[in-house]
This record gives sequence, structure tokens and C-alpha cells, in this order.
Amino acid sequence: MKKRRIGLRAKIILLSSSLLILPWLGYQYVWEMENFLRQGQEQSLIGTTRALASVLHERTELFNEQASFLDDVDSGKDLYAYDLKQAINLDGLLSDWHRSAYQDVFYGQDYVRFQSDKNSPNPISFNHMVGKYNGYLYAYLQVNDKSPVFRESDSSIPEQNDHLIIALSTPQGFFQRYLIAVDKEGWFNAYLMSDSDNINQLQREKRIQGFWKLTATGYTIEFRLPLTMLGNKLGFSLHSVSDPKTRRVDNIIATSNTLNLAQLGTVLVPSPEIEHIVQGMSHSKSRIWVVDRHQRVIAKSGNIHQADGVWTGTQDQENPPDSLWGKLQTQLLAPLYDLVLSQPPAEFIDELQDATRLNSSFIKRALEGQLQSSWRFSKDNKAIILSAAHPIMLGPQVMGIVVAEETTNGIRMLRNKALEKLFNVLISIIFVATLLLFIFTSNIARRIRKLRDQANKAIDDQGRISASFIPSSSSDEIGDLSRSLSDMVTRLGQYHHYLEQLSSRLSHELRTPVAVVRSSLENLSLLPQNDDNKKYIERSLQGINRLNRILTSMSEATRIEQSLQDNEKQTIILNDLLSSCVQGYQMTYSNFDFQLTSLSRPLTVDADPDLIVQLLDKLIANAMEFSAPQDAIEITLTAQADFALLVVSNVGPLLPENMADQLLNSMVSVRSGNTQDKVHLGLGLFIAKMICEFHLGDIKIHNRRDHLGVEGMVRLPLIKS
Amino acid sequence: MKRIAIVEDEKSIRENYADLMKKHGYQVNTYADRLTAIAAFEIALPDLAIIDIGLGNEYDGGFLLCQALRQLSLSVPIIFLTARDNDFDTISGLRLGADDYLSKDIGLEHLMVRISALFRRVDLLQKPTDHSSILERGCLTIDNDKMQIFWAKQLLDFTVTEFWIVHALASRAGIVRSRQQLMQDASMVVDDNTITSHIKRIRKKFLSVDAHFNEITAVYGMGYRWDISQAENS
Repeated sequence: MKKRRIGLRAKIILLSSSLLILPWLGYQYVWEMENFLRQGQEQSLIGTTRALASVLHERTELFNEQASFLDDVDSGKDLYAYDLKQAINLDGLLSDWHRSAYQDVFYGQDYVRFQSDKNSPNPISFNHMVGKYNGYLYAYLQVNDKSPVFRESDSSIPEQNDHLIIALSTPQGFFQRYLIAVDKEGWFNAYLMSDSDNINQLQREKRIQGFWKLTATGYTIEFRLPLTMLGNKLGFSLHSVSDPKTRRVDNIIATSNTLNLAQLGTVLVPSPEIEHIVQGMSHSKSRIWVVDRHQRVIAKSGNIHQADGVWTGTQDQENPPDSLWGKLQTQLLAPLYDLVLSQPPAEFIDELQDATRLNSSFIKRALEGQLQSSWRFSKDNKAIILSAAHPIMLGPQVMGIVVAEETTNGIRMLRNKALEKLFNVLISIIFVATLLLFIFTSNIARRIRKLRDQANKAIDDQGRISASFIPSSSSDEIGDLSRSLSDMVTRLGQYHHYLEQLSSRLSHELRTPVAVVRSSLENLSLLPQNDDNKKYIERSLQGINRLNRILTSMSEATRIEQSLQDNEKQTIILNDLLSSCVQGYQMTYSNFDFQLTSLSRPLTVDADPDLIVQLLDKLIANAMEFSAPQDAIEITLTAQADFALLVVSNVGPLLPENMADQLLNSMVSVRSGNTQDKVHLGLGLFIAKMICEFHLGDIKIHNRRDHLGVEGMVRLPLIKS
Repeated sequence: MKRIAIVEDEKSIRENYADLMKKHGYQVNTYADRLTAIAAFEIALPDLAIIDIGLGNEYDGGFLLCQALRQLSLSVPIIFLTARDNDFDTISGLRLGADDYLSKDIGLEHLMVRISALFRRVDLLQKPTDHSSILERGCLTIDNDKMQIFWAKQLLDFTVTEFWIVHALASRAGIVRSRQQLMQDASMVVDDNTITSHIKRIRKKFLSVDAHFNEITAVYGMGYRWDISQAENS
């Protein structure tokens, strides 16, 4: 299987992917920073609560004395006047209260004070709520009563019908009770209760005004009284009569015991003074609660949706510039960042929006006098809310706590901004760095490829130096490599040259010793010798003659090379030359059969005729050597495009595989060794090749297509007429 | 007795040649380097000098010696005998006025033939030419005894080998002589390429006096032929 190639450029791209660790590091860093900022936010929030608590320390008058010193607060008995957002129409319709379930307290079986028929379930119940608006305390009772009984209009006894008793303590601490009993639907005033039973003798309290309205399930009593009347205790007691005939009170449901000041439930009206102080802190942008020790909210300010813990002024909404980068940022990066980064939610559900009681372990611990802070998710898990609590002390006792809350949206926004900027910069850096690396590597790869191509080209298929190697002038390592390769090729070329010259040098060097032997032998043969000596001298002379021929043919290539340099080419007609030569061969080697197939039209080439003859001699000699005399040696001359194609073909043994190219090299021979009498140095075809190359042609030796023999093919460029 | 000087740095060859020539009845002086040779030549000129080109450390010592000898005498026959066989050295040697340029692998027989031929030429140069030895082929006149070749009555300078080749071609005009035959005629054993070189040089010599010289025709695959052109005949 072929191994897959990975180029330098691909490798660099892979390697530069390690740069992607940078955004991760950046993210980690920003994450740390966010933690740090959160801690800072926590500290500053605690600071806010501490500052506020400091203001509120030891300010007894600010706290509702009664309730604040109670050990326990019962949500039904102790009332809380909610801050109403809008004016209430006293019309018996409750739609303007915008109440919520936890504000609307249900009084049923648990609050029954008296029941005439103890065996039957209590049929009467009411929902109740008190609120505060514009100096008035508003309240309503939504009563479920199947048989509402009004006071008879002529009756002066106020207690023989459904009636409501309001018990309260005045700001001066006096106990006051008021009675509401109506003879019909509509407006009413309360009566200040005294010992008298006659309603006409009761003093009408005009400051307590209300509306009594019948409903499908019973009736609704809606009323108000000025806060100036009210101390810190308040209770309601609903007396209901079920039988209009007996007019006996069958059922009493009360928020607390309205007969006794001590047992009367408290009412908490959020303190305007504390609220005033708290408002002063409102520029801190936190939501601040002041909670009494019963976890009831005394005052609050701020809105959690704006309390993001950051100065909004610093968050200028910068519009991205209208450039390519800007477009890229808004269209490509921003959606990507939105996917990765959790954007701070603009909207989330705050379950404590209108809370009057903060009931959590966190608050409880704070009430034990500990400084607290905690993180929690908003109810819909969208936002993280940071809370801090600081106790308000009165002497050794915790009177309440200041709770401040902020979301971490600001920090998240800051974090996101930081991350976006970081990512933008990192993406640019990674992009540019990768691009630079890519360009650099491409350049290196290009240079190496060039070097490789040059190296490939420098040496041809036969291992000969075919082109000079141009060294690079660059001073770096690749330049060094190029120079050493060039050096190598040059030295290899010199070595090749030496090898090609070797036979000639060798023959030159051998000539002198051969001359010594030959001249000695010849001298010897001139001396009188017996027959034995003559025989040996004769053999030695034969040997030396053969050695001489070898030396001659060894230097033949060199001599041809030299003669090529001063050869004059002339225009010759190849057909004529060829037929003349073949005639000559037929005469000289009459035992062979030469068959010439030539074109009728003359093929003219620019060549040295002597060299062409020599080339032909070599081819014919080669063909004759490998063919039997009875087989014809075919010589074919054709034209092929701009070349004259001369083929000398013979029947005989085939060439060994993959030797064809090497045959044309110096000193390569594939003879089987049965023709000892001739000299075979493998130079013949090498000379033929030299001549072909000198005439800008080429030569190939290969097996015939019919695999009966071998053919030599010479191409010479034709002269264009 | 003819005196032959052999200047050759290789002792074995020098002495072998000396022995051989002594056997042929020549007086032989041998020198191993250029300076001893030239010193001896200044005292007494040899009748024929056989000089190796490379002498000891002097790569072209033989050429220098040839020049010096030619200054002493214009007529002394000089033969270069060398292991070098390239055309460049051949041409250089012949330009310096050598009478022949031979490779060391030449057989002693062939060498002796040349030596005797050269001596004969020197001897006959003094005597009037015998008409029987004159061969005429168109513009070509060959004096066989003096080994001289004239083209349109103009003497051309040929070496012994070249003279024999021209003579062999011209004496059988119109008939192709193969390279092998030409080698035998010129008393040498060389390869085909050397014959081609000789023919080229011969042609050039004729062309130098007659730009229209066209008497030697190459018959490719066979050899060369001397054609007597009609223009010259008329």
C-alpha cells in the first residue's frame, strides 16, 4: 500500500492548530478574572449592606417595637401592609388590588374563634389582605358565606347580624375597637365600639370608610383607615349570623384575639423613614431590603433587573465599524460567540419581586448575627443573583438585617466583552501567524521542490550528468544544500568524465609497455631461433597484436569525440549514402544478406557523412554479430515527422530485460562469449550514440515486436525544405 | 653508414629500437632527454631522427627538439614516434616539419620500411629524376623516387604515410580502394578512423592549392576512389 504523503504545508497547518490552545488559555484567564470580579462584587455588596446597617444600628424608633420584640410571628395573626402600587377604589371589586396568592391570606377553619354547632364543618371563611397607599391602610375581606345577614334597618342592635370588628392600637398605645355592620350593600362607616349596645349611641368613625358588596359566594368588605389612627397592632374579627330568624352569632373567625390588646396581632406597615434611608442608598444600583427579625420586609428599594453590579455609564454600546472587519464581526463572529458565551439575560423571573417575607436559610443565618453572602440562580435559571446580608443590631440583639442583591449580569457582560475582544485578537493572531507560516513553508517547499527537480534533471536515466546544477545564492540551509548538491554534481561530473576518459588514458598508458614487449619480441624474432622458440614468439606476437587492437578500440571513442569537435556537417542525401553503404557491406561481408528498404523521396540531413557511415558500421557490426548468416539483416529508412528513421533489424537472441538503455553506455556488452576472436569492449554502440547525439538525433536498441530479434533505431532530424 | 638518433625516455624501447636498427645496418645514437640530444645534434647532425613527444618531465619536449633540429637542418628526416594518438598532437607534430608521425604500436617492420623510404628519398633528391618513376593523373604528378607530389606543377608537402595513400589511390585511378587496402599500401596497422583522418588531411592539402579539388571520392561502406576530373584532363 502506498504511504500517504503529507506535505510540509499540511504539516505546518496541523502544527499551527496548536495555536488554538491560546483561546482556551485566554478563556481560562478571563474565567479567573470573572471569579475575581465576582469576589469583588461580593465584597462591595457586603460593604453596601454594612454601610446601610451602620446607619440603622441602634435606631429603635425605626422598628416596629411590638413585633420586633416578639419571639414569633404568625403570618395569619400578624399582618403586613403591602405597599400598593395604585389607588384603590372602594367599590367591593378587588380587581384593582393586583394581589398575588401569597399576599392574599386565607382564614378558614384554623382561625375559628367560636362556632355554635361544633359538629358541623365551619361554613364561613374569608380571604384577607391589607395594603398601604398614600397614607391610608386599605383592607378587604372576601367572605364566603352562603347566607349573608344584614342588620335590620330598624334594629339598633348592631351584633345580631354579620359584622366585622376591627381592633387596633392607636399610635399612643390605646386599645380601640370598631364595628362595621351594615343594613344593605353600599358605603359604610365604622362605629367606635363602647359598652352601649345601641348602635345609635355608638360614635360613628368617619375616618374608617368602606364598601360592602354582595357576591355570588358571600360578600366583600373593602375599607380603609388613615395610618395616623394606627399603632402597631391590628386585628379583624368577622362575626357571622347564619339564621336570620334567631339572629344569633354562629361563627367567629378572627385574625387574632380582638378583645385583648396584649393578644392582638401586630401589623407591620413598612416604615417610610427606613425606606427614606434606603432610598438614599438606591444609587448603589443594588436591590436593598431591610428585613425585621421575623424576616418581614420593612423597606426595600431598587430593582433587581437593573442591579447588575456595574456602572451602566461605562457600557457604551459601541457600534461595530462599517468595515470588512466590522461586518465579519457582526455577521460571522457575533453569532459564534453567542453560541459559546452565555449572554446575560435581559429578562428573568424574580420570585422575590413583591416579597414581604424573605425566608431562606441564608436570611436565617444572617438573623443569627452573621454576615452572609450567597449566590443563587434566579427561578428560571437564567441569571445568577448575588445576595449579601448584614445584621442590624440593637444592643446585643439582632433587630433586622439589611439584604442587598445584585445580578452578575454586569460581570458577565464584562467577561463576554473581554472574551470577545480576546478572541478577536487571538483569531487575528492565529490567522496571521498561520498565514505567515504557510507562506514561509510554501516558500521552503517550493525551494525544496525546485532543488529536487534540479537534482532529478541533473542525472539522466543512465546515470550520466545531463545538466549542470545551478547553485542557489541563498545563505540559509537550503542554499547550503543546493550548493553542496551542485558541488556533488560537479564532482560526479568530473568523475564521470574521468571514467569516460579512462579507457583512452588506459590505452595511452598501456601503449608504452606494449611497445616494449612488441619491440623486444620483434628483436627476438630476428635472432636465429629454433622451431620451438619461433612458435612461442609467433604466439606472443599474436597476443600483442590483439592487445594492440584492444588499445586502439579503447581510444576510439575519445578520438571520435575529438574529431566531432572539428567536423564539418554538410547536406547529404541519406538514401544515397545508405544504398552505397549497403552495397559495400554486401561486397565486404558476402556471406550475409542485407536487405535495404528505402523511401523513394530523398531524405536530406545535415550531417558529417563519415560519421554517419561510422554510425552505420557500428549498427551493422552489431547486427551481424548477433545474427546467423542465412538470416537477412533488414535496413529500413523511413520518415517520421521531422525525423529520418533508420532501423537496422536482425534475427537473433533477444536483449535481456532492462538492459536496453545501458547498452548504449561505455563498456557495456551483453555478448554470450562465443566469439572470442574479436575485441568486445562495448564501445561500439556508445560511439553510435555519441554520433547520434552530435547530429541532434537519438538511438534506441530494443527487441523486435515479433520477438525474433533486436532492432537498432536511429532518428536524425531532417532538413526542412 | 647512416646514423639514426633515437630520442626516447623509455630505456627498453630505446634500446630495442637501437638494437633492431643496428641489425639493419644503421649506426644508432640514443638519447634519453632533450638537452643531451640537442647538445649532440649541435656537434654532429644525424641522418634521421626518431623522437618521442613526451620526454621525461617535458610534456612537449619532442616538439621543442623537432623545432631545434629543423633550425639546424631543413633536410634531416624527422619521425615522431609516440604513444599519443590524437589528431591534435599529430597535426602539431606535422606542422613542425616532421616527415612522419607514428604510433608506438606500429610494427618494427613498418617502421623500418618508412626509415628506408626516407633514406632513399634523401639519396634520390640529389639525383635527376628518372622518368619511369613519374606518375601523372590529370593535374597530379607523383615523383615516386623523391616521394614528391605536385598538383598543377606545385609541390605539396606530404608525410610518408600520406604519400603512400595518395600514391595507392592515384596509381589505380577510378578503382575503389578499401581502408584495409590503404593500410597495407601505407604500411600501417590503424583503425578505420585514422584512415579517415588521413584522407581528410590529404584533401585539405590539395584544397589549399586548388579550391576546386574534387579527385578523392568517398564510396561509403567501401573505401575511397581517385577520380580524374574531365576539366583537368582537357
